Amino acid sequence: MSQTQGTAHPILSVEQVTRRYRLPRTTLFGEAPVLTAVKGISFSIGIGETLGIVGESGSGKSTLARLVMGFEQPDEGVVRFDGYDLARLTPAAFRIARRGFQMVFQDPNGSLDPRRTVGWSIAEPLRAQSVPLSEHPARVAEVLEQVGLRPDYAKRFPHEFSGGQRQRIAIARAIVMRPRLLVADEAVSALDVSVQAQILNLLMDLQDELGLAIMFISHDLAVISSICDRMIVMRHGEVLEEGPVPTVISAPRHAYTQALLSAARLED
Amino acid sequence: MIDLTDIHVDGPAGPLLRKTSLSLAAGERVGIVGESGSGKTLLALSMMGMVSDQLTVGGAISVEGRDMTNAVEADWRHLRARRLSMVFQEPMSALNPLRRVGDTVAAPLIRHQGYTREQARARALSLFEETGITDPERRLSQYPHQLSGGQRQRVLIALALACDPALLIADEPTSALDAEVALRITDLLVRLSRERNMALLFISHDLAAVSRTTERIIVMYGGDIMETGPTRAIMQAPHHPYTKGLLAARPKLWAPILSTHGKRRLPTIPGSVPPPQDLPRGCRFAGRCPVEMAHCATERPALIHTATGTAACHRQTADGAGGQS
Repeated sequence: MSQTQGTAHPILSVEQVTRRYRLPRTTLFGEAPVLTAVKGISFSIGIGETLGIVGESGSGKSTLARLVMGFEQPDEGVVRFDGYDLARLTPAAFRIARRGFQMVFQDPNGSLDPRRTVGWSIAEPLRAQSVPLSEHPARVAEVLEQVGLRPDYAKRFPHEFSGGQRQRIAIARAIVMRPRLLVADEAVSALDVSVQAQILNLLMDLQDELGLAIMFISHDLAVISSICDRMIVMRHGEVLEEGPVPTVISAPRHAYTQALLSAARLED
Repeated sequence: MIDLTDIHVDGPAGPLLRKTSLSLAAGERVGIVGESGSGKTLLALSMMGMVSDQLTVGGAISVEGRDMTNAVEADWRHLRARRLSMVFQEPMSALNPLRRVGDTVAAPLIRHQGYTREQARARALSLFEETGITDPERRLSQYPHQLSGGQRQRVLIALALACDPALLIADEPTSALDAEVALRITDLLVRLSRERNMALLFISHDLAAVSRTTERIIVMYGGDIMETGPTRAIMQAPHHPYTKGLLAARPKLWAPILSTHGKRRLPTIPGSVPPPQDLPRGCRFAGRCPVEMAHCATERPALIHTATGTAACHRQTADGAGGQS
């Protein structure tokens, strides 16, 4: 494995990726229209780096997340994790590679089974990856502590927790396989302001401790600018602008970025 | 226009909204800011006579000089059909998916105001124009699924305006929308309030959206008012420690430019909101407050005047009386 350190070898590289969807036909005999959700996008994320992806709904940012996670295959282009083309791995090899990247969603309830204890849900990736059962309790306790919760919470059920705590549990589940890349899709968008700040700080703490790379997807420019190193601005499936956060914020080149920024400035 | 005196709501496990007094003048734009469980929606529902039967409401309420304290459901329904309107967060679930949106807007006009079908349709069209719905004529005969989120929210606003309300309550009207669309919806609400001299109560957890829309802000936490004041003063110089914490915790655009070195972390309010039955008897914010004093958890602070508004904080009293700060 090419586990050299430094950003020269990115943990994730997305090369000229395109993804199209066939839409329902609007007329009986007509061609089904095609929506190109992602159009020839390229970017990379270095080890331990946070890349922000900002865009409105329909910009293709969530499609991009699904492509990176291997939930979908690109129609064109390559997604490389740690140098390997995900589409060309055998199912067994993909399963092993999959340990390295995990996802956190906007709604934590989606990854927590209401009828199972949170410890059971957190251990799900461990079972999927055939980690010996004897290791599970210790691993679950470890990640619960890492996300700022008490280890004995493993015995409780999701409904016993607040929205912010559930998002912490979802993050614990995402880091239990000790991934090297975390894809966070609108992970703090549904949270109250004070809870949002706590979760953003938690992500930054975990990054420092574990050397995680984070692909942070959000519609909120202020959130992106607070935690990301670099950022990409997307619209209609294309990258309009890319650069270090301070550069993009202080000297946006694209008119759309300028419009987003002035909308966000109005709020302060 | 509307006066609430010592209004309070109790649930089976204890108080959900503590004794609160509040007035709105005609045409005034007031924001209620609070996080989940702060009681902001309950306060709004009590103004509409829409609090669940499972809860008990106390206190006095009058709308346009009319005492509604002991009003029955029929009185409230009469008032809601004519003077009070509400817009909710989720525009999809508030619209009947099987009904053309034009018919949805026309229905209350026919039912409550004696319009004919043609008159109601013409009125719906002019409401669509007023709320900035694109291609209004064609939209009248479309179904909700054919509209974007922003257009749907405009339809709901048109529906809310159909009866020429004196008060429009907007509960998180922009939370499900993209930033750009949200901005246009808040602009629309402000314009409508001005043009119609309609009072607007804008409820949101989003301080930014509230500050753009309102002249006065009420900050709530744990079913109690923490602070009130002119919007600009609250945003620039808040008095209550909770408001200060909330403002500091917001991610800000310029923060990374100011702190490019060292660890970047957002200021936070420690801990989390306790469930209603575990809230402190005194100040609701006790236990999480950075400047808490010994009696804060047991004695409820009164709302006292600050330089610009009011704040319910024992520190205000202590610092004010002692003259040192």
